[in-house]
Amino acid sequence: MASNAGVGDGINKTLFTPQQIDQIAKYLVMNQRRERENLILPRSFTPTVIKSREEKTVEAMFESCPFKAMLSLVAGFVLGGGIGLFAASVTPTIPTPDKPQPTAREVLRELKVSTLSYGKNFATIGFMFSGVECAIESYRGKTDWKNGTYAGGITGGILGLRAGVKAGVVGAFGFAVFSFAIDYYMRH
Amino acid sequence: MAGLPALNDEQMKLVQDLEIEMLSDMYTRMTNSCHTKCIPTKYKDAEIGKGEAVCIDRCVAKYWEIHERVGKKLQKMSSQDEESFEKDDGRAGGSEISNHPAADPSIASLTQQHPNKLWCLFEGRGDEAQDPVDGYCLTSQHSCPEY
Repeated sequence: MASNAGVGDGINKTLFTPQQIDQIAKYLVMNQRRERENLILPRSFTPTVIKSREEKTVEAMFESCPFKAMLSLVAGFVLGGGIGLFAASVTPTIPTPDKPQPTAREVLRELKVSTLSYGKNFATIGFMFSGVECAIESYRGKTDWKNGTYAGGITGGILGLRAGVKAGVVGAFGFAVFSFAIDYYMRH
Repeated sequence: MAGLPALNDEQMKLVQDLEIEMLSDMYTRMTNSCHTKCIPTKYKDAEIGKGEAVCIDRCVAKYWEIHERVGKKLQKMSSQDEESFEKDDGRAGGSEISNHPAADPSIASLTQQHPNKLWCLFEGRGDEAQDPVDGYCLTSQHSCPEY
């Protein structure tokens, strides 16, 4: 310890008496939460960056589970709307005798219905998947492929349960495999 | 809460250097430990994922709390030790100088009977039935053993 080194002149100079060492040791070990004027961090190659409190709150908000779920909701709605629009526009209308040609208004109505329907479906899927995955990852504290797979299983199960237990199981398994495949593709 | 004893400038500077070294050592150990625990060795991404960030938060919080608790326990143990030392000193009658048998008139005859022997302080083993606790004994050694 530095205190026993006897810095300076004199061979027999004692810097601290044993009682002082004892008190100093207790002071240093005990009072960890006292107020300090300067914040000291060891510096490595890069300069030490300390984030401000506001920056940390903003970052926490952007990385939180609800925000991610809402983001997926919006993105799912947009994507689903696009797919629905495309699907509805390429669906042929079967002419019936009393209505050989649909009016423009009816066509637009079909497009709107299809867009909204697909959009809502994709939005709920995205919201649930993203929310569940984020929750599982926060709980486990690890980032790996299992989070996506478990979340896919749960989401598929919930969606499939609307049509019965067997459909729920099949849906869970299918969605989990799909999610695993997407994860694998993204990571490699 | 423990307080610092009265120190001059040179001593204070040493204490501050010691504290800085202590804290930076703790920071380094904490960083290494949490890095080993929370971040797997296969890197697929340069960014820290959400799970890893959560793990690091928890690791740092636990490390700090353990550090504090151990410090408090250590302080409690050392103040218990201090109390028992003070009690022992009190039982022996204060400081050694006033209790030294050579200065005790009641056993002056014993001292005179053994002029070549020394009064030395011996530590007992602590087992009071067979071995008495610290006490002075007349011994024929040339100098008293250091404890």
